[in-house]
Amino acid sequence: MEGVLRKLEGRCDFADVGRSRVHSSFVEAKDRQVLTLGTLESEGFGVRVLVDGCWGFASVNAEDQLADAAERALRLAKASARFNTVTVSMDEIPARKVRHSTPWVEDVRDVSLEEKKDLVSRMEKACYIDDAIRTTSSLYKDTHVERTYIDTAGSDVETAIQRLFFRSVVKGRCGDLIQETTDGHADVGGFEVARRGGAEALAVDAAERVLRLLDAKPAPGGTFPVVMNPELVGVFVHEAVGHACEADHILAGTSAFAGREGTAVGSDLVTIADDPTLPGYGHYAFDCEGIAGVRTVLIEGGTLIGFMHSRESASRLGVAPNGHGRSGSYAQPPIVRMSNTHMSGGDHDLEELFEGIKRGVYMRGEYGGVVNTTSGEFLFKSKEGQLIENGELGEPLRDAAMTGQVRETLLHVSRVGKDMRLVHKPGACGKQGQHVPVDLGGPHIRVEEVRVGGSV
Amino acid sequence: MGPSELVDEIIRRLDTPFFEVAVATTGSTTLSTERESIRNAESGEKIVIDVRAGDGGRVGYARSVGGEAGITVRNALEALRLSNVDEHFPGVTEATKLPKVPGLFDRKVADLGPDDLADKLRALMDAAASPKLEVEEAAISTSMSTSAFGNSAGVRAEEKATMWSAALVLAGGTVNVWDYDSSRALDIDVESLGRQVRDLTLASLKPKKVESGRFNAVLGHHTVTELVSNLLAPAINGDVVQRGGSPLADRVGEAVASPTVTITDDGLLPSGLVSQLFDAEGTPSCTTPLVTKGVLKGFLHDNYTATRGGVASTGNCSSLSIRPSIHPNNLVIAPGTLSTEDLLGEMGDGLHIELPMGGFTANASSGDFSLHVLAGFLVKDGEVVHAVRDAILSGNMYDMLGTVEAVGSEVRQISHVVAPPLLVRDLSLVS
Repeated sequence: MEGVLRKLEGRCDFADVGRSRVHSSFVEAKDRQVLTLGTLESEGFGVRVLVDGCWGFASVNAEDQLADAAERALRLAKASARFNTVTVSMDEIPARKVRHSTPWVEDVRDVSLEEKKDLVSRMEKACYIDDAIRTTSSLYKDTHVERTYIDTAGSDVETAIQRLFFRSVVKGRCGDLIQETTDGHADVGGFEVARRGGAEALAVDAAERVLRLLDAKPAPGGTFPVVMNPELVGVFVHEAVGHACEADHILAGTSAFAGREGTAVGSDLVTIADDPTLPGYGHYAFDCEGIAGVRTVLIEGGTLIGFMHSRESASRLGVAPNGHGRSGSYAQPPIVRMSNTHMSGGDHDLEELFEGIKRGVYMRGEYGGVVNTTSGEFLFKSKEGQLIENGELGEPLRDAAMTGQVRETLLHVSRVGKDMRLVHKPGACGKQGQHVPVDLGGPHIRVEEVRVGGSV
Repeated sequence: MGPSELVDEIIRRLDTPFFEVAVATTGSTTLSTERESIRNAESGEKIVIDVRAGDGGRVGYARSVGGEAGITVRNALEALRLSNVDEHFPGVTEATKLPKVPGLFDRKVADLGPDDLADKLRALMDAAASPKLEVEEAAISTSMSTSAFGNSAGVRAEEKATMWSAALVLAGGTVNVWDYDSSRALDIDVESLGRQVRDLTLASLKPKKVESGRFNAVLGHHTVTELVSNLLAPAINGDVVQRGGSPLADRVGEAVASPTVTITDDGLLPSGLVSQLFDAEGTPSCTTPLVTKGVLKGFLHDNYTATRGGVASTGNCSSLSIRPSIHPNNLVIAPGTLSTEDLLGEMGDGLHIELPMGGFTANASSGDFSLHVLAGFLVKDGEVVHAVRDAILSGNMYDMLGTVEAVGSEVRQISHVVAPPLLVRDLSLVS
């Protein structure tokens, strides 16, 4: 690696080389039967060069192919540079040597697949709490990642981290109606995460939710006050606020927040941060450009104050990098990414959030969401809903989806609960074809005037 | 060593009664822009080894990206040792003749160099130029892969394939619109794609609010693709069906759609983006009728669900990793005779939904969906009145399939769906 990097010096404005080794194991069961035990091993190298403001990147599996990859990266950058007007000079980062492991107690590589199989079998069994539960699947997966990173500025960073998750998917049927849901847990650490227990309880939670959904009515369509739970708030701030605060989107003009720094983008109850140092599933000590992850406040008291940066975006916007350059694998270059994104807690108890709502919807959990970062339009669907009538929770609802504009919605946040938490759900954030583990969360919040999709 | 030689090399190390070995090498390149500047160019070369070893109803799996054959075999055998006996264990695909599928590989795509790609990307953006619009992002990518397969029944197969695609996002103020095209041959007209995105963006620039209510709608290619891939594809998956998770499970032979609807899974479609000679288990590709004139005909299977259901695999195994693992090939909706203009005329009053967002939030178990409308149009007397955006379109796919009044003639493949526009009745729009 060092030899390849040395040969690039003087032929480009900046270069870095990364290596990652991944060991992963998984167990999958369906309908109470363990069907697959498997392992995944991966090793590869990526080399990146900056030429006249253009990045060329090439990845290979073997170190003896790395020199060729470096030449390919140079050719790619030069081909692009013909049609580029952006200039970039990477700020100097003091040369440093780092060796860091995020601690784990029980190395996932030393635990037999047998024990992992037991965990999945227990989760599967726990799902069957009622005859209406028809089909289930459960998955356990752990990952051990070692990375090495060196660059022409003198960085030399080696890190190691372990992560694991487990989850169950449950489907139930009542007459012709089929409903499904999922629940799980994800964390940084070794197999001690699984030993802490709670896996069966999560499977039961999912099964109980399916039973509620089978009794639920379709959500009404219209504009209502909505109370969102921490999981949905977390997904909302990740998708709708977090992505718009990724500095590459700001530079490219593809963020609804571009040019709004220092202005109000939410009610004064809204404070949102991304914090890689928190012990969530999205935790890391150093990003994939060798920079320490730093808590980054994005919105404080409703005012937009900061963005997440890679080394490039920080240089271009004249700020210090904050450790948000992550890659999905050795085969992908680092881009600006989130870690643990969350809204800060407020002053209200949960019951106060429902007070005074004549007709509204309580939306819990996240079934999926998507945001158009440029325009700020979003669509989120909750796992389950509940009607709010005269301040009281009423009948259960299914298929409740909400849609709108990010800033309008943040400005309509009227009450914020005290119960902030990271949700620790198995989740990977996708961007430009790259997937990285992230966590998210917040307190319960109340938002006035949210458009809910449903039957009209 | 090429992929087929590596398959043979791995097989020499395996002595279990059943085994399946897949080796795939892929080389890919992507160029993408920041606004109009081409700034990022990536390429990758990788090799992936998959080994599934079976014995006495048990099976173990291992994958290695760039790793050693020996480690992969050892990991698969260790997983096998710890696995449970499965009463539905299907064995492996028996050796038969592979089909011929024209148009999977184009040397001209494989030979595209960085400068060719940059030129094409520039041409795409130039063709889309308009004083009212900006390029938000554009990208072009190519890949070439060689997949080899071998199993304990003596099946040996290899396939070479190419793919390339071009994508463009244009913005006018806060309105943005995107489209992309993919092909296995060097036949994408990037300039025509650029003009198409430009015209749709310009038409969408001044959206107006529509009174919430129920509407008939002409669903464009992207909308049909979102609904088919998120709602229909899971419901015709043999595994979901056998485990009672599909509303279509007991309905073979019944009408599940209007008689205008015929849907086939076609792994043999010439030049199809998901066409292949054989699936992940080495089963030759075929054509599987799913819905014929509205009547449900069957489901998609891999070896596992085929054995469990006492039917033949339809060649839809997508991966050796998790069993079963079923994915559609090309899902083809048979075209009708009406152009999009004729469909709008036939509809009279309603909506034309060209570009939706968020189809993956649909509930495949119940068929209920909510789509955010990015590019839609209000239609009166068959004519477009104004653009509609920032609205939510809801319905139920199973109800909707029964209301397909007419099927368009203009077929387009997006991802694994090959479909024309559809005229449907009675969807809900909240604006």
